[in-house]
Amino acid sequence: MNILRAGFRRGVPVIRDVNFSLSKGELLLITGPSGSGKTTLILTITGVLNNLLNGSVEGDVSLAGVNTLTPEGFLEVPKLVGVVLQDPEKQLAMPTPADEVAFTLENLGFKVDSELIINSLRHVGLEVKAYSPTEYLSGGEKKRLCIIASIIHKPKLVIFDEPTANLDPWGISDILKYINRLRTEGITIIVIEHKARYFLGLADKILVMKDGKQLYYLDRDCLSGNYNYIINMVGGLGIDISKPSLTKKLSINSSRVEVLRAEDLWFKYPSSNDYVLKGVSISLREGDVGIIVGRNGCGKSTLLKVLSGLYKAERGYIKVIPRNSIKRYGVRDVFYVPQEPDYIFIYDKVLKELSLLGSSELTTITNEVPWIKEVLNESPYKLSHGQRRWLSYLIARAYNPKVLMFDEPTAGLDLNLLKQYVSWVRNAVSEGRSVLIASHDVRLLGEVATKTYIMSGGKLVEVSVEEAVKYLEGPIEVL
Amino acid sequence: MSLGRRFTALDLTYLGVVAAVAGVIFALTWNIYFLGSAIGGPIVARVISYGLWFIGAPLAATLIRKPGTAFLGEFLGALVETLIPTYGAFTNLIYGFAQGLASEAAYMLFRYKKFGVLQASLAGAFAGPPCVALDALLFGDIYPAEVMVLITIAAVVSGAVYGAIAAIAVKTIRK
Amino acid sequence: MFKLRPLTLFIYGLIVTILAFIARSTEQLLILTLINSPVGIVLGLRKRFTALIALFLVGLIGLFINALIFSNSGALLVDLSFIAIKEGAITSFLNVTLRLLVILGAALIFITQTNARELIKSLEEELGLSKDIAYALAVGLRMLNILERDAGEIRLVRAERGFRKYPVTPADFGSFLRPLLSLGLERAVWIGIAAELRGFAQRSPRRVGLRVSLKDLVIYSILILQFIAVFVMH
Repeated sequence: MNILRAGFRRGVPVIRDVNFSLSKGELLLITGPSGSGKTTLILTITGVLNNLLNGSVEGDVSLAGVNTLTPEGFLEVPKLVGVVLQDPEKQLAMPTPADEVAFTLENLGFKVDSELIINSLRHVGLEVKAYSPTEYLSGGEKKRLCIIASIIHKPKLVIFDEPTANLDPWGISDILKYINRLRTEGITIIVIEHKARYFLGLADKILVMKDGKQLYYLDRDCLSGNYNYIINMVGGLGIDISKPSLTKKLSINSSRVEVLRAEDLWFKYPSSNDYVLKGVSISLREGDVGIIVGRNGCGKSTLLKVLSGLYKAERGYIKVIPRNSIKRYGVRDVFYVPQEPDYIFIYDKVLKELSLLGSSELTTITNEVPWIKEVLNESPYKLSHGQRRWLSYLIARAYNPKVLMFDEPTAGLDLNLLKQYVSWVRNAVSEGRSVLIASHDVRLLGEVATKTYIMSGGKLVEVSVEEAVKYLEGPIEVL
Repeated sequence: MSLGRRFTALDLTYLGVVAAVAGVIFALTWNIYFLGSAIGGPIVARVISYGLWFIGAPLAATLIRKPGTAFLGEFLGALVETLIPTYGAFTNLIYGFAQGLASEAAYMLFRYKKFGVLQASLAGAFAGPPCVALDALLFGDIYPAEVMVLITIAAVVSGAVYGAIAAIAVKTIRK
Repeated sequence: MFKLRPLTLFIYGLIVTILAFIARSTEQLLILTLINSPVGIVLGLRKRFTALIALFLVGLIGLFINALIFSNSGALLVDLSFIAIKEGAITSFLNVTLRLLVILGAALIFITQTNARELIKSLEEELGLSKDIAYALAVGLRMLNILERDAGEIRLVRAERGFRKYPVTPADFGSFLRPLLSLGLERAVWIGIAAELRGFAQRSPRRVGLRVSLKDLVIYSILILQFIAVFVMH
């Protein structure tokens, strides 16, 4: 493949001068920081960019002899390639897993019968859920469904875009095993991933991108087990290539006042008989940064919602000290920031979203975050995803809470963006706030945690940072 | 489109999203309609609710900007509502069909060249008269002539307002 | 309960609804009601569609007031001291109530005995619905589930920020609609791309033609009986 220039608009290339070639059975890892053009590269080589999105591409792409850039070649792409996109919510189109698999097969003219569908779903452990709504699957199950629905027709090339995104360590471990299995079956694979460390051991070739350009292209000869060499070479780019460090710890002043105490919380959803929280207790002092780790669906998010008063606990008590009048508009003692920033926006202008702030506070913010000034009269929805997240933090801070709660705040962030988030948290702490984060992101632990908890089976246990890291790294055998 | 097809999967996915969003809005609008009827009588109820029942067409057309999308947005929204299901049950399909066609006419007037706020507002307004006519035909909602005129105006105004809101909402989120 | 084909029930429900509108006399409506409503309501109560049935009962109050205001003519029936109820109001109220009962019954029969996914499939395979529309509808169904979740989260955060949980004013609607659409469309772009990458352009759906089993014939016969009832008694 030889791509000279590719972009969404003619004259504004997103990608320039990328060249690589792959032989049958090889695994290519394409890595680079956020915004380096990794995903656009997939759209380019599959012909989507110029054939479907009216983008412009100069160069040659040859996939098993087919030029995917031509309209005729583009029609061949589905047979040759299986593409597994980053977010299952943005790929799965059908109401049930069985329909999802049948959709691919029917499109490509295969004869579909229920036995074939059930057998292929069995392949990824979803046979019993074949006819139940896709919505009821867990994150990991949805990911596996994406995979089987993309590769059931046995394509020559399988492309994975950020396969570990949003998955907990157990899910990541499943995916790594699955990709390895495909590799041993002789299928050619392209993995696009900023968490490069998970794939170093599997890759035959590595392509490192930055600002739409090819920075390094390493083949097997360069690789041959010499990972430290690569780690040193790309370390500063914002790519997760080495293990997280545990050296940076926040200094803790021991004589701080307690701001949040909860004891013996029990909670279940009205639609279910099982308790999600079974006697959870927690205490945070001023300036604490608590991190709750645990599997997807262990009840971390529910706990945050209960602690911030969005759900009522069935038993137990929550005390916030000092208690403001929670009812008063514009002040919240505890503010919950959802993972998806769009949920938080109310108005059609950024300025209105920040209207709780006085003019001096607004000036402080525009000095801290210069881009805000440029977009004050824009709609929040027109901002980039990173900017929207940042705006959601600013909105939360405008309510002047004592405790800020974050639900998976670093999902999908590369190392550079993660560092920005960490500095934001440190800033909030220096203003006298406390922070509680629900996350399965091992990278956060060493950076900001003053307290760490493992949540499992409806119970919360306080552990040391080292134990929490071990808990999260355990499922994955890296390198 | 370079593929020479009328709708790409992209357009159709948009259409599916609009159908779902419209279906949910249609379902919720029943509450508003009943609330409005209880508090303010038939005219107030129509002002605050009817435009919401016409919203599928302006949403879909503003977003996809192709012939036929206004009709499909409204009709598929009504089909989704039927599957939820709501109070209107299968009558939704009849309403959705008529309202969708009326709204489509608004875009046809502009020869499918413009898909802005004005057209969306017109699309909403156009759906008003057929809807009032169906009410009379199907549910015997027949009032004295002057009330009928007021009711029709209420439905048209409501349609125009919510049509505009739909188009503006699409414009504020479109990147 | 023996399983009926969704397409049959869809056609049945749609036509019974249309018949309910064509029928003008109380007798015609009564026949349609007796055939459809008891079965529908029993099935509906068994499958927890109580809310829908409750809403129907609430709606009756509005209908009655409507009838009193606009059709209160003819012979005097009851003279409460504050209002006189005349024959016209009762007939009008009765007719509309029966009509709604038929529609409710038909809808409940359909919705309790079928599943939307299978309906779309059979519309595509048997009635020749275009693959475009069938796909858009399937996506719509999938989205419906996701929207429910989105709407729940949005309500939580709205309450947290001190705004109304449920939209009332047009401004509320705008602020509710924006995040729902924004999230929906962002997903739609990628779902659309993924569908193209999975060969949607080449899809040519299986057409099997209309299949009719004995059970379907029974349903169609009941439908024809009602058809005759409405037109013969006209």
